[in-house]
Amino acid sequence: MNEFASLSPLLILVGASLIILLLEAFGQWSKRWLHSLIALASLGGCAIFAATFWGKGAGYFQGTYTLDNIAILMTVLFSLAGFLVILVSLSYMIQHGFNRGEYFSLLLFAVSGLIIMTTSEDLIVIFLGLETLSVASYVLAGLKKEDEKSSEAAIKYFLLGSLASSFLVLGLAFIFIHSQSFSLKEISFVIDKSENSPLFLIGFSLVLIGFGFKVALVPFHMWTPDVYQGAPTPITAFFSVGPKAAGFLVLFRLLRPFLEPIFSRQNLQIILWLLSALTMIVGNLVALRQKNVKRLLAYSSIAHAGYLTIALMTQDGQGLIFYLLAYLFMNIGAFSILIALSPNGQEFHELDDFNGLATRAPWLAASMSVFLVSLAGFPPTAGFLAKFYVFSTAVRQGYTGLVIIAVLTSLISVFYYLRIIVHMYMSKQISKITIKADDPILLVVIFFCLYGVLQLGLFPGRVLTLIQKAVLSLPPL
Amino acid sequence: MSEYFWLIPLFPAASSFILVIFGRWLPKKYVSVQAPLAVLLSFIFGLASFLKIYPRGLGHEAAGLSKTLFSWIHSGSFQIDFTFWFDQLTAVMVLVVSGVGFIIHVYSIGYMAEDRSYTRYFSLLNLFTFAMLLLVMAGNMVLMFVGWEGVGLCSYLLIGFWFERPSAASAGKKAFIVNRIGDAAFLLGLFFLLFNFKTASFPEINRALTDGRISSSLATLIALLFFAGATGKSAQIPLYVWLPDAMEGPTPVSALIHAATMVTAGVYMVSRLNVLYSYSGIAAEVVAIIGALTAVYAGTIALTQFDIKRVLAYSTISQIGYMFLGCGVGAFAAGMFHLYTHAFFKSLLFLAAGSVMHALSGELDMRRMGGLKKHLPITYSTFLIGAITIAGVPFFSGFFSKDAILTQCYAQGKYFLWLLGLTGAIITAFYMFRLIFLTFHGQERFSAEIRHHLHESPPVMTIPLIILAFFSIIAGYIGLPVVFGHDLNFFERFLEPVIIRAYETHLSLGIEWLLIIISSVIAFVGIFLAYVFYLKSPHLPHQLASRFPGVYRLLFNKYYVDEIYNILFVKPLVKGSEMVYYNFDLPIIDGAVNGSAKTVSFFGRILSLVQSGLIRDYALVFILGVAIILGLILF
Repeated sequence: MNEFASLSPLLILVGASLIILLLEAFGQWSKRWLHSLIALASLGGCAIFAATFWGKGAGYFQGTYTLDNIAILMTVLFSLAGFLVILVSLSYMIQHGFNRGEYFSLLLFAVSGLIIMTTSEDLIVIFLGLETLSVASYVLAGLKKEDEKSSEAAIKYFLLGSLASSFLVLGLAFIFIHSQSFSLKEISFVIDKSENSPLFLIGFSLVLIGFGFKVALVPFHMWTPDVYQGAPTPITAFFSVGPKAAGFLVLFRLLRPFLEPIFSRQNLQIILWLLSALTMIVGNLVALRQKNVKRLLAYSSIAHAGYLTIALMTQDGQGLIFYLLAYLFMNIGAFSILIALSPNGQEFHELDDFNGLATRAPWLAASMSVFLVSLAGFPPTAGFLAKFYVFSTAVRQGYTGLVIIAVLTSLISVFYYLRIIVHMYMSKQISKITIKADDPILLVVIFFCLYGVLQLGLFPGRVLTLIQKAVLSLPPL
Repeated sequence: MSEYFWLIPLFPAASSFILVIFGRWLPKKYVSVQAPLAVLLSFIFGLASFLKIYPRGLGHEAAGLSKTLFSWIHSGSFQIDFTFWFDQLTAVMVLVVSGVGFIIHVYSIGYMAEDRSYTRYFSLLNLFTFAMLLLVMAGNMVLMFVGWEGVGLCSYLLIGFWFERPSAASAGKKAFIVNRIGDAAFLLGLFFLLFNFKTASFPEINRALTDGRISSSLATLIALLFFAGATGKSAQIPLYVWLPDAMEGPTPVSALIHAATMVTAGVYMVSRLNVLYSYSGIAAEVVAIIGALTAVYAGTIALTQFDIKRVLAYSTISQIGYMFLGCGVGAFAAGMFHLYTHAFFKSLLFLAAGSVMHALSGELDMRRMGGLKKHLPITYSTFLIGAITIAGVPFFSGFFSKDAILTQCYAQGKYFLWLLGLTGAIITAFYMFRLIFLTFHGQERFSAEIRHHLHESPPVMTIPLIILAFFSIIAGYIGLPVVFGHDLNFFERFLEPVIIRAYETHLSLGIEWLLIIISSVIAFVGIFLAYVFYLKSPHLPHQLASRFPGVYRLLFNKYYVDEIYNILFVKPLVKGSEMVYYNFDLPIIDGAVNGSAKTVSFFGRILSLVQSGLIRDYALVFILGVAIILGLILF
């Protein structure tokens, strides 16, 4: 019985999305308050039910389902992301012509995919979660059917995603051949005893590549700008936060047992090092050239994936999760501002559209500035502490060269983040676009994210202890 | 109520916050109620807390209220708390700041009524009150420094309140920069203190000193550095130059910040650290000498000025000199007493001057005034009371406080300082009555048009004047000198628990009487001379000026100190920075920065070329990545 109770967070989400599908199929709706309420309630319920398992950390279903403290923390994080994304899309979906119930179902499916990914230590289940997420994501990206860019994003995402998945599956097959198991625990057991086997290493790197695609590591990042720009803005916000967090957590779990034995013998360290450095450099350099803020944020998310990879290499779980949490607040916050600049089916996301925003909507401009400053990593915001923790651990472990690259590229990033602020505050002309600053729900989300960014930046103590507890509860290697 | 004493500074803070955030939507009437009310609440809470500690104070107990809001800086064994502290010394300051502050807030309602930035004015005035209360209620030196900088900031913002006027903007800048010099010294002192005492809280500083853990040379160094900070904030030689220019701000601001409260913060700080200053004889000596010199020096400049507010500004500098003189000779209570009486009569003088300006459409030059007595009866009589008080006429408050300082100088055998003090006193009486006679007596020297507009100020301005005049007269009676009977100096006895007695007076009653008579005579001589020079034979000043043209020009141009500072410090600095800018910053730093920016941007362009938008290119990059990784793994 306990095993099924542990599934409750997932069951709630899946159940809710099925109910929403039925509602949509058998009812005529002009407004979808009921749908959104069900979706929001199920996300809330999911987080609460997951939280009740705090500290009981155990594997269920022969270890294929692991609801440990980290998984709980991530479940809450994903539910929060889903919750905020639904809130900001309520009026956006009506104005941008995808006012349908399936939207909520798909989003809930995607969130449950994320949860499956992070609550398992079995590679095949993780892959299942990834595919649940991916299929939902492909549709979500193309929800704006009349918009060419949106459809293009969906197709690109689908094709390249399939390519990545095929490599991933190939990798899984290699690993299985070598160790006769999909369970991370058992695999690590086998690896410990055997000499380095090229078969396993190839498999492992292919799996790495598969997830590297999801979290947008260079050179598997090419889809990111096009998909982020084309997808509906709330969905972009979701993509930039959810799949990235899940991907990094899976990578964290994956590398945990293998890092030491493999690192001591093989070039995996160099590969991760190169991936991280390349991601930071390419993400930040190309972001410099962007004139569209939505696209700029896509490159910024690539750059952040580079910083996060450093936390992977140092196996700094605390730094990683804190970073992901901080990233959630600042990124959803920044995208919410973009949503405020998307009235009536149009999207005003060019840099020039931000001209003089400070005089027209001072609160929006001020909040955006805080989010950008946090993304750039200035104190007293969450972004600063997140980078600080990750980088300082890396320096302590001897990755000085990588941290130097990280700091230098962060410096470059300051330029393009601050440029948006300059446009908002110091531009002589004022753009005439209409701003949707009167949507109270949107404002509440923005202020909530603002609060999150400052709370984590100024008084991170409590959250840090919580994360620390979760990380410490992991079984020792 | 007294257990909530820590709310005292928070009322004006909250009010200021509301005005800053929501000020745009608040009606003027509401602002006029909220801003003074917040200060009044502070005053009421201050009064309650004062009544709470008053009986204890007379019982020679060193007792104060203390409240730690949170631990602020914590590192190892070193800890600085956000602590509010309310003892006898704080009580005096809190009552002065909030009491006089409240009156000036009310006066401002009338004075600033026509101003465009009414709300901004009150939000800043409230913010100032908060910072000043924070300064006096701080339980440690670091928190005091926060208040110290806060009042400096508000002072800067309020001096430059009419920033459209270039003179106001540059006066604000000047005040800020000159204060920075003092603050740098203060900060240095703070570092030395923290490093050697390992604490910043006042009781522990005192304990460290009485334990004898600190060498006297170190104490001297720290005390002198703090005093250097005080010369900036309290406008003493050599950093006084900003205060006369600060008169560019609105007159109520001059009354509150640049007469009654902020500029006396240095005196409060020295009194707060009285154990430190008593510990170091040299530092005390320096304080006394600087104070006495400033008292005379600023007075001599005031003799020749024609700008009514500048005369008052130099007079403030000179009076603060007296306070420091008192502290320097160990009479901290007397120094604080003068601070307290000065707050009343000097803010009265400024507000009355403001009333004159108000009546004359902003005229400041006394040469274009005269004969205002019958036009502005209330302003005149209150101004006169203020002048009598500051001149040191017996039985007015200024007389008692100044006399307490001078008596102490004499009792300590510092006859030279005592003589300087007396000289300052005669000068004070002279220039104050010169001001009265030029402004209110004699013939009218203003234009007919101004005469047409001439009017007494509205009650919202005159009632504060009357209240302040009342206190100027009676405030001194809580600190009567010993000749009127023992134990009549309630003020000094009240402060006894927090101020150590570094001296015993051994003067016989006869000498005390003699000193009092000398001071009284001095005051009357000064007034009489002013009468002779400016009413009876008004040609005398001109004759004197042409007889001694050099002296006159020297005084009129304020000893050329501004010019000297300009040549010695400002010009070389500007030249030097220009040199660095053109020869180093532009070609080398900017060149390097722009160069690297261009390089980075170039690579960004190259890389973004790959982003073609074609799926086949994307897949190609992907496969290349896979190939490289597999290659690295296998070889």
